[in-house]
This record gives sequence, structure tokens and C-alpha cells, in this order.
Amino acid sequence: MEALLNHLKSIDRRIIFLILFVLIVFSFLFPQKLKVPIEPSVKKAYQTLKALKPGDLVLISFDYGPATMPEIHPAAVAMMRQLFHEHVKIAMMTLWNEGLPMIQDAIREVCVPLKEKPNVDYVNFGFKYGGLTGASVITELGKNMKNVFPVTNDGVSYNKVPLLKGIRNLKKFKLLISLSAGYPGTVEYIQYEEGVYHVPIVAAVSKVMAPSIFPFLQSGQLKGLCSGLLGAAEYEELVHHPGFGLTGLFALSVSQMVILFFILLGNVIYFGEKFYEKRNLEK
Amino acid sequence: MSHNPWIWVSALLTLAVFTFLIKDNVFYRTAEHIFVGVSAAWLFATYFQSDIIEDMLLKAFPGWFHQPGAPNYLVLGGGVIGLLILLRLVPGINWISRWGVAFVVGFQTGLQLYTAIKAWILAQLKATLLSFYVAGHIRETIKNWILVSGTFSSLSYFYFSKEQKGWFGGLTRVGIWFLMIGFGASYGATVMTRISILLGRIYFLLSTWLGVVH
Repeated sequence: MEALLNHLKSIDRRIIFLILFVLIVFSFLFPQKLKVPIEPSVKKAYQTLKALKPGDLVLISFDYGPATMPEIHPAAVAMMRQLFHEHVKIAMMTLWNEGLPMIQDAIREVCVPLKEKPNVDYVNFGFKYGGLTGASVITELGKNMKNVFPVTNDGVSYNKVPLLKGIRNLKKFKLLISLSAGYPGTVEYIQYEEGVYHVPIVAAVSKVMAPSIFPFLQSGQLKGLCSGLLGAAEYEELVHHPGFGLTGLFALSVSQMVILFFILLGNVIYFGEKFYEKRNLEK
Repeated sequence: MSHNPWIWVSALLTLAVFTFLIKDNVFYRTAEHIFVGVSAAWLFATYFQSDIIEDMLLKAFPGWFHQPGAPNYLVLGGGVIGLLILLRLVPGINWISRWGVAFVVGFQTGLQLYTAIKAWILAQLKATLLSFYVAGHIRETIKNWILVSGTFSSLSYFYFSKEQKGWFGGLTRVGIWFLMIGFGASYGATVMTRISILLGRIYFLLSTWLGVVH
């Protein structure tokens, strides 16, 4: 037994990587439908979007890049589908230079198949650098949006966009959806926008950010929160449109079990070693 | 299997990065260098378009870009401040760069003072002022107790003007437990994010590249 523990202790990390890789591939090849209980925070986000009326305007800020795309993009797509289903108009922007391809991907995935018209049903403002905290852009959005985006990402002048007729600043928007994987993102929108201009905010964030964002939900500064791939899967379940969130959920569960197994194994080895050390000393 | 050459480039680069798990090698280093080069170019292009073209030149000289509206020469002031910061590279007059830095620091501090106190302290403080008994809602009552006691004991741990022993030591030890649970949740969330990223890449390889998963 002692020899086995010693052998397991020196297990090559590459074997663990291989086990994880093989199990993930098998999870995708032979997926299983899992029951998805909906978290109250996700339900709140869904209900906030559901309460919007046809013709209302929503701003979505895509503050994430390809690295966190698997976690946040499914939620972004599901929310956009819901908004268009409710005939809500969408303006899209990003404070991250990597966010621009995310917007373009979401347009290809949602707006084009649903035949939503650019600059009429949705507008893409593109990327705007607002410093490390995004403060200069976020604060100006609450005062004069045209100052931030004199032209759309396609080069159309702000005044010539039908969707923005009579819209001077963010106060005319019914909701802000912050899709965020770091800084600047949800925290800055809460600080500079919700705190000053009182624009309601719903967020979809990466799981690693979630523990620092949840206090804002509890305090009411956020109207709903979708965190990580699990949150995205729950949202897809709510809008009845499966995407990568639900597809990846089984693989996520399997990989989490593998990691849990190795954490437990590590603990067994640790305590086993202590036990044998003590026994050998007594001998 | 995809016929798009860019999907192939993306898939092969993903595999090249994965080879690092075996050991450092030429494929990984090639992918790494390509990533650094492309990222630098992308950053420069997007920041130049956003800051120099759209924020400065377009507003100061809209006619150059066939856009309506009166010129706003004030925005050129931002460009001048930016140039001041670049003077750090010129020996003899590099002290002038401090003016630009002072402007940025002053702006950020002023903005943070009001908004950070409101969003981070006052709103959070208000959210912990909860009732210890919610009639007819036992779950809500327990939740409030946990939240208030967790906040109070965790904050106590960071109070260093009193020695942490006796009843105060007990309180701070409860605080440590709450902090440990918080750190554990953070660690779990970090693992989940990293795994999700891996899932995204493997799904891309199986679905978009190889077409074996739909």
C-alpha cells in the first residue's frame, strides 16, 4: 500500500492531462442531457429582460475576448435572441479591442438569421478605448453618446442612424447588459453608470469573476447575473434555444469530476503518507 | 472537415499551443511568437483608430472624413497632453512628461473619489444592514444572519489595533473561516473558467475543424 501511494505521488502530470482530454472528447462525442436547475440570479436576469417592451432600447457591452468566449458568448447569444423575440432594439459596443470580433460573431449568429436590419433593429458602435478603467467612455455615455461614437463601426454618422433618433445618452436606454471577463467591465459600469445615472444593469460574467460580482447583485446594483458556462446553459434553457452552453455542460461536469477525483486522490496520498510515517516511527 | 484555410490555421495553432503540455518545443514557440506579433499589431491598429482617428481627428476635422458637424478643436488638447507624456523619451526635457501624467492622475482620482465611495462602500454597507428576523421566512432569516456575521467577523480579522485573543480571537477565527470559504469559492470558479476555455478549444477542433460533433 505504501509503495502504491509513493507511485501515485509521482504520477506524471501529462497522464492527468491525457485523461482529461480523452474524457472531454468522449463527452462531446457522446453527450448526455443533464437536468439544469435555474439559479435565482439567472432567473432574475431573464425576468428583467422579459419585462422590456417592444421598441425599448438596450445597450450591450461586449467586454470579453476569444479566451473567455466559451463562457460568455453563449449567454450573449441567448440574451440577444430573447431581446429580438421581444422586439427590443439593441445597440452594441465594446471597451475591449478583442471584443469587436465577438460583436461581429454575435451579429452573424443572431441578427443575420433573424433578418434583423442593421441601424434599424440593431446598431454596432464597435470598439472605444476608455483607458484602463474605461471611465472616460462610460461617464460620457451617460452625458452625450454622440461624443463617444460620432460614427458607427460601419462608418455611418450617429445622426443618420434611424435607431438612435432622439437618443442623446444612456439615460434613454431601458437596460445595460454588461458581458464582462475583467477590467474594464461590469464593475466599472456599476461604478460609473449605475451609481451616477441609475441605468439598470444585467451582467453575464466569466466564472472567475463571479465571486467578486455577486455582492453587487445582493445589494441591488445588478438586476440579474449569469456566471460562467453554467449560467449560460441555464439561460439557454430559459429561452429554449440550446447552444454551446448546454452542449458544453456535460463535458464541464465530467471534467470537474475528474479534477475532484484527483484532488481527493491527492488528499488520500497526503494523509496516507502521514499515517505510514507515524507507523514507521512507532516501529 | 472544414475547407476554410483560416479554420485550419486556427486549429493547427491551437494544437501547437497544446504541445506545450508535453514539453517546450518549436511548434509551441512558433505559435507563441505569432500570437505576440498579431496581438501587438491588432492593439496598435484598434487603439490608433479609436483614439487618434475617431476621438481626435474626426472630431477636430470632420470635413476630412466627409462627416457633418462643426469642428471641435478642443479635442486637440488631449493630443497635446499625450505628446507631453511622450517627451519622457527626450533627454533634457523629459520632466515635462509629468504634466501629462499629472492630468491623467488628477482626472482619475477626482472621478474615483465620488463614484467608488458610492458604489463600493455606501451601497455595500447599506446591503448588509439586514433584519435579523424576517417573519415567516426562515431561509431569509438564516441568510441574513450568515451575511451579517460573515461580514462582521471577516472585517474583524483585519482590525490590527487589538490582539487577536479571547473573545476577539474567537470572532476573528470565525472571520478566517468565512474568508477561507470565499477563497475556496474563488479557486473553484477559477478552475471552472479554465476548464471552460479548454472545452471551447476542444469543441472548436471537433466541431468547426473536424466536423465530427454538431
